[in-house]
Amino acid sequence: MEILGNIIIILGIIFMLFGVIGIFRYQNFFVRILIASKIDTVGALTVVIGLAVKHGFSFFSLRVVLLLVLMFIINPMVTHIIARSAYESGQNIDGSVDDIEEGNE
Amino acid sequence: MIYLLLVLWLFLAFCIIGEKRNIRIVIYLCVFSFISSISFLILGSPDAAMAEAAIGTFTGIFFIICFEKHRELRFNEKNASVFSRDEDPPDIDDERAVQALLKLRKKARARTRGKHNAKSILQRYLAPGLFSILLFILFIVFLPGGEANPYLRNQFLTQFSEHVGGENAVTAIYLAYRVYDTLFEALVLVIAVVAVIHMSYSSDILVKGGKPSHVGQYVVVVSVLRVICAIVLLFGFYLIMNGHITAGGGFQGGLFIAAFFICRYLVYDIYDLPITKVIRMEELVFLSTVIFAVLIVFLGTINHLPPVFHIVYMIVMNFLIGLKVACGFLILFYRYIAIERR
Repeated sequence: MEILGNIIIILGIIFMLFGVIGIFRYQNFFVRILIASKIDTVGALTVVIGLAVKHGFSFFSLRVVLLLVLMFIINPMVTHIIARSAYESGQNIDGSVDDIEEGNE
Repeated sequence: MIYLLLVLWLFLAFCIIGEKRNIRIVIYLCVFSFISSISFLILGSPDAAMAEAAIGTFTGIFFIICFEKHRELRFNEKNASVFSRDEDPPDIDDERAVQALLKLRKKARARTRGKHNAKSILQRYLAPGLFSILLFILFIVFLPGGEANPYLRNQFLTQFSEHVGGENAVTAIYLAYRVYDTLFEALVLVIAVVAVIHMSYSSDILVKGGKPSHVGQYVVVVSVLRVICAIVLLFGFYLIMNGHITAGGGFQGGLFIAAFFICRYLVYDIYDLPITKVIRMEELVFLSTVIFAVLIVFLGTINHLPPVFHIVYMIVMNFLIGLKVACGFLILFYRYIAIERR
């Protein structure tokens, strides 16, 4: 059980690593926010699931699962509100780097 | 190793005091927080080291961005003044004026760079260096043992449940051993609130009407926040009431209670709290916190009182601090709403 939990936690950290690489790799705003949401949601959720599996059935696991449900609800919502407000304030979906700089000014 | 770092630390502090150019002060500040982060790590507190590293990085970046903006602004102002002075000769266009300005700045920079020979550098850094070494020697001579003293740490960590009660050492420290620090920390928030109200003063404390918040149109956000709202309020009270057992306490719980009101505003567009009464209430709560803590302290040290009273003391203090923090953040947020909807 503990080895399985460790494997899942390492998987989550690998997800986060790919997300961090992706943020620096791409320039488009919407691509980057998609990747950032992957860190928030997939990476963090996998790590939390790994923690719950590692501790088995206990009170600690119950609290971790509650936390997991809250994260599952809140994190995609945050990404949604950032992306939508960026779109409404005039960010082009196929915007290149120049467009982004113009949009900031 | 730690002694070397501490000497460097003092030296940087004196450098910051003596420096006149802003950008160098910021760089010194970053190095200062880097060194203090390493020394925290060596002294065995990785959490403080991480916090210090994060603070140093963010403030450094923030200050440098601010300076860039400020320099752009001042450069534009200079440009404008040049154009207004040379209004009559029409042959000088923007490009040439900018080029001339750049040349002037280069010259000035070269002049200042010429000044920095070895002698002036020695003059500048000799005094702070010597003074910091002197202070450090004094520090070592007059400190018993000359090393970091673990007495207080052991005292706090092993005996807090006899002295204060509860199961959370952090709560024991900030409500009993260091209660004056906590009071001043709460005072900082009061001062911040007073400053915000004073800066953004207007006769209409509570703006009626105006444009509603944009978040109300976001269907996903509204339907999620409507569920989260109640959980946030419950979690805030949970943190306050269990501050002496688990992680948490008045400050965190108060923040969550304020977050409940923020969620309520975002979802339902309701902000009908009478803000002048909230301000009065914050002052009263702060006063009662101070009076309660000082009364307990003057009644005698807390370990002379019966152990049942310890838990009551901690719960009441956590509750008062939580109420105060909630009021403070609520006032700040309502001020921003009033400015936004004007």
